[in-house]
Amino acid sequence: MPPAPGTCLTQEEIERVASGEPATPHAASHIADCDQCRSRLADANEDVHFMGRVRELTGLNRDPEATPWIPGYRILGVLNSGSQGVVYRAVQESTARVVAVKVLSPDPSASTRQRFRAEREAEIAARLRHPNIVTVYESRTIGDGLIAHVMEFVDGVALDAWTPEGDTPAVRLRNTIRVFIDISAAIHHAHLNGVIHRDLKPDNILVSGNRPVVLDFGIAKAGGIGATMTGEFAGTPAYASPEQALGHPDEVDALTDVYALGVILYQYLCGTLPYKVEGSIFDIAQIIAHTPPVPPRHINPAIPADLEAIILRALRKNRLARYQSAAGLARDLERFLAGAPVDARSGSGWYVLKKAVTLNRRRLAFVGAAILLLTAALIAVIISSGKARDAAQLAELESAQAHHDRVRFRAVTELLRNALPSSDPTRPEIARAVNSGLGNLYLRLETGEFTDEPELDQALRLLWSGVYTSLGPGKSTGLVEYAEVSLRNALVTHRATHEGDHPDTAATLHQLAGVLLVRKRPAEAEGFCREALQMRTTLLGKNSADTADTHALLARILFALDRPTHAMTEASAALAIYDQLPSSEVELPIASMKAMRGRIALNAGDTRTAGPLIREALVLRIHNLSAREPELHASLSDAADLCAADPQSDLVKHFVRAWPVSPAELPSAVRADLPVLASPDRGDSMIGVATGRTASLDRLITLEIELLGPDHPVLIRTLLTQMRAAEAERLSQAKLKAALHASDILTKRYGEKNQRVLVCLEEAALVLAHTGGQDKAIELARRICDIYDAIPNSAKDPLVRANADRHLAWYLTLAGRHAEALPIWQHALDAFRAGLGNEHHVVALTQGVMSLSLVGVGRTQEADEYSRVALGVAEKLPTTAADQLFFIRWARAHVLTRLGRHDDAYPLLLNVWEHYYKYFDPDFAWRRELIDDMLQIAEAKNDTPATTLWRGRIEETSERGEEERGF
Amino acid sequence: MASAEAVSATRTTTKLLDALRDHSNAPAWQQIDTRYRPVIRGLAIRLGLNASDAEEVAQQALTEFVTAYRDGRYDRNKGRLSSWILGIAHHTTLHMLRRGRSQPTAMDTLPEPSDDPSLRAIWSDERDRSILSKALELIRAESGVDERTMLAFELVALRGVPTAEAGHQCGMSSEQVYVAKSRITKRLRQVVTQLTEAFEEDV
Repeated sequence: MPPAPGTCLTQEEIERVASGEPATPHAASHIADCDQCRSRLADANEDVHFMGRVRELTGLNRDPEATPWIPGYRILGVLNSGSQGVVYRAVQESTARVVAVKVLSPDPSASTRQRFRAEREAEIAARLRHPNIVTVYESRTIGDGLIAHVMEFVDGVALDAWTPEGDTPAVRLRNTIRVFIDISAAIHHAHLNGVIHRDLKPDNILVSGNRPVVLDFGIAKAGGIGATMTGEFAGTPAYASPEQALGHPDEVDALTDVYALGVILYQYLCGTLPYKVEGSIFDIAQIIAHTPPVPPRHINPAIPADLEAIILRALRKNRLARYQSAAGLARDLERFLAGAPVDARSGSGWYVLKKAVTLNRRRLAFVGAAILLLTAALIAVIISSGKARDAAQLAELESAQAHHDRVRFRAVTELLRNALPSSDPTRPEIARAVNSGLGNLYLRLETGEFTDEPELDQALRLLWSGVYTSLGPGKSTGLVEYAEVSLRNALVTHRATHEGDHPDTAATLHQLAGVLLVRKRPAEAEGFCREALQMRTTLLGKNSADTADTHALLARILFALDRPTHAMTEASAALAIYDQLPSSEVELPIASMKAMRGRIALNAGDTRTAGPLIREALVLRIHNLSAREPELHASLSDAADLCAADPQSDLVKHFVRAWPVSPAELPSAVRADLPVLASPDRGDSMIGVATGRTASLDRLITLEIELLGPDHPVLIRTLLTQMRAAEAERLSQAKLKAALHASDILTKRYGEKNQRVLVCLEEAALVLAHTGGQDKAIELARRICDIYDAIPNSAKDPLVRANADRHLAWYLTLAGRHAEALPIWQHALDAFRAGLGNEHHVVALTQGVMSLSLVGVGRTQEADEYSRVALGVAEKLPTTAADQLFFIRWARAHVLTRLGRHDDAYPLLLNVWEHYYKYFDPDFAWRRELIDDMLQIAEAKNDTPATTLWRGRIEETSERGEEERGF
Repeated sequence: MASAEAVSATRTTTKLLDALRDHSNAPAWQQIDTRYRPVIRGLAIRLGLNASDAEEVAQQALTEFVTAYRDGRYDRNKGRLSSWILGIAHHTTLHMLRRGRSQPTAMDTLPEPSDDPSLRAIWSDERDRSILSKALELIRAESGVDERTMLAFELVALRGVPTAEAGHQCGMSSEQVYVAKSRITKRLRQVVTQLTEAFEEDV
């Protein structure tokens, strides 16, 4: 055999060819001649094929952006997608039934009560059974907070695309009206069940043959107009009622749906809307609220007068003048079909049942979407208006009042920062929710709601524009548009009211400039900002905090205009003033100016100047911002760039501790972590979801330790974040590490016996006790008891103390140290009895679980007695929580098992297992105990297969602790 | 230890079934358990259950199979073992889905073996997934496979890390990573084939 030309191919070359890359001339000619390499290639080809299947199995090929994975369903395709969510056509795998699946996100700004209400409403809506309402089979969370509504698949067309059957116009009209009667009846059925649609439009009504089906009941978000108008203003506010347009969510009820039906019927018959819906959001609100509909017969004279009257009655601006129910509308349409006189023309409009409406409203009204935001805004209003006045008249910025105001303003900003949890562009629903809340406020402002209180009006305008300029662009998506209009209107009012310079005018100019900067129109912003600066310098003096803010804003504007030298000058001016102010209040603005100057220097290649500035900005931001905040990320990113540009920088040694790569690779390594840090925790205490946040946070913590030292109190913030992230990923050890580290810092700062340590200690003890670290848990629980004991007698609460005892006893029991546990159980039990009486679920719980230790020391008679009594009491009391009841049942079953009363124990054990297994952490000692009991019964019955199965379960369970998904 | 496990993992299903005749043959029962538990769990998750419920379904389905087998209700002429277990698992899963939570599955009659193709496809996926997982576990335990080689393979082949980066993480050159990946892939193919044959011997 002649030798092959050239050397044999490397494995890399072989694999490149196998994976389909064109072979190099050398490779091609070599393979042709070399048997060995040819066989290696054949092998590599098979490897590629095999690994393709492996990737498929490990989910590596799954595109996260693609269709959602809804267990039990196979997605066939997209039916339609809108801003609210996407509707898919899917097959239910178990039944082969074709369904429609609507995937949408819940409103995250809603309060718990609202959310509960919305959930309840969705639940009721799902149970609505009506031939003209789409059947909802189930709704469930599919991860990421997304909700999937699985519905009947309706093979029909949207109402506006539907044509009635019939040879003559008269027949077609009758068929049309019949469809509307069915729709109205369906809506009425829902109203009777307490469900308002709130977002009726032709898209939400499908017609299949002659059968209309109304979609999306209970899915429209609370807040009505918030969802329809402000969130997607470019869409169709056309069907909104006046009460929605004016932002009166408390008036949105069944009559709102009646109005929408009127608009839909009008549009269907006339081919146009009752009024022209165009212009700004403000114009549209005004039109809907005040412009009377063009009478239908002016547009289409073929419409009978009676029908016209019906439509106009449904379209009355005054809710009380409309039909008082969808059934009323349906009845009148029926009368019209039957040729009977219709109610609508009886002129008996709105005398109808005012009282019933009031009742209805109470039953059906829904609260606006963003109570939280509005409340916060209102708190801040008072601050803001006070601040401006004081500043102008007293020029005493550092007065106690001004200081107080600033603190409260910061409190509001912090609240909002946290209430708007994400600037993650992959979660637009958050921006939408904010939209709907602040959008309502906007409409109320612009419709003159606050004109009687001009100060409040102006303060609100300033405040809410301030909110999103200070929160940064990520959280203010979509809001700035309103802000600009609102501020421009405010400016007109100010200039008309005040001659010449005025602090309110200056504040408005400043905010407007800020909004324009966010809207990426820095050139326009500059003019307003310079005017504001001139005014503030004159009115408030060169050294006021407000003047500094305007210098800082101007610096940012100039930076955006790519005029770094001028930006530097303004930034220095701002910093010079900030340096004179109490530092805690201006750390973030200072950081922002330093960051900017650092960035400018770095861009110019001047790493010597950039180094300290970037470092100081980073440290200030670490001090003030949580791991999610974009400004902190910007600083991390700047610092990494600095490390790459200047490997001699003192930051390098700190950064490579956290990200062990070369300085040149730091920027990409650090930036890879930023989106992970910004992302939400996706799991909960029951099901962990791996997001990688724990690992990213760990690197951030390492960096923070490097920069600040291991005992710096600022670390606590990140450590607490880490505890939550680790819990969501179910990484017990990481959670434990963070909890212990945090309590360590707190201990060093506040001393051994300070209550602040308790939260971290309790979390740490719980993790330890549930993951096999009972001894350490016991140590911590003892310390917790000591801390409680150190509380002065006057402040002591014996029940809180008894609860600490209960935990200690519980950990001792888990560790099998029953003899030690018993006196502590007894102590806790006595205290609970003294404070709560015998007939109390906490007493029953303590007594029940205590029986485990009684069994442990062989006092089986007492254990029998305790667990029996505890179970009796717990089952009788309605206050016993389900989980408590199951703990007590399990204790009882355990005692019975140990007593050898397997037949009594078994049903109880099964009951507990069925209801409670899912709440046990796989590592949790009790879960193991529960299986052990099952095993013991199986063994006692000499049942080898059952024994094997329960053994298998134990192994399975312990394997699953570490890695839940993949391998 | 690893090799003993490997041997029992590749025991064919027929031999396994024969061994089950002896009700006190714990290793045989254990084999059934380790072999089918993850597959049933995977199936249940794919049909819409959460992890805990799926784990519960696996326990119930296996218990049901054991009871049926012991009572002599399992008739090999009516279908393959995997079809039987699949039928039981499907039934138990549907039961759980309907109830929303687990209840003792009172099955009066043993569900018929299932040969629904879409269900079969899910079952095969889950079976392959479980085999793959077992195979990786066996290879990790093999002497002669050092940790670095394994890590390089996992990074590149299972997690999609670029070769250069994986090399950096493992302290290997790119070519070494390619060689490591190719070596483990070959071994994995062998083990997966063996395990699959054992599993599907009753086809």
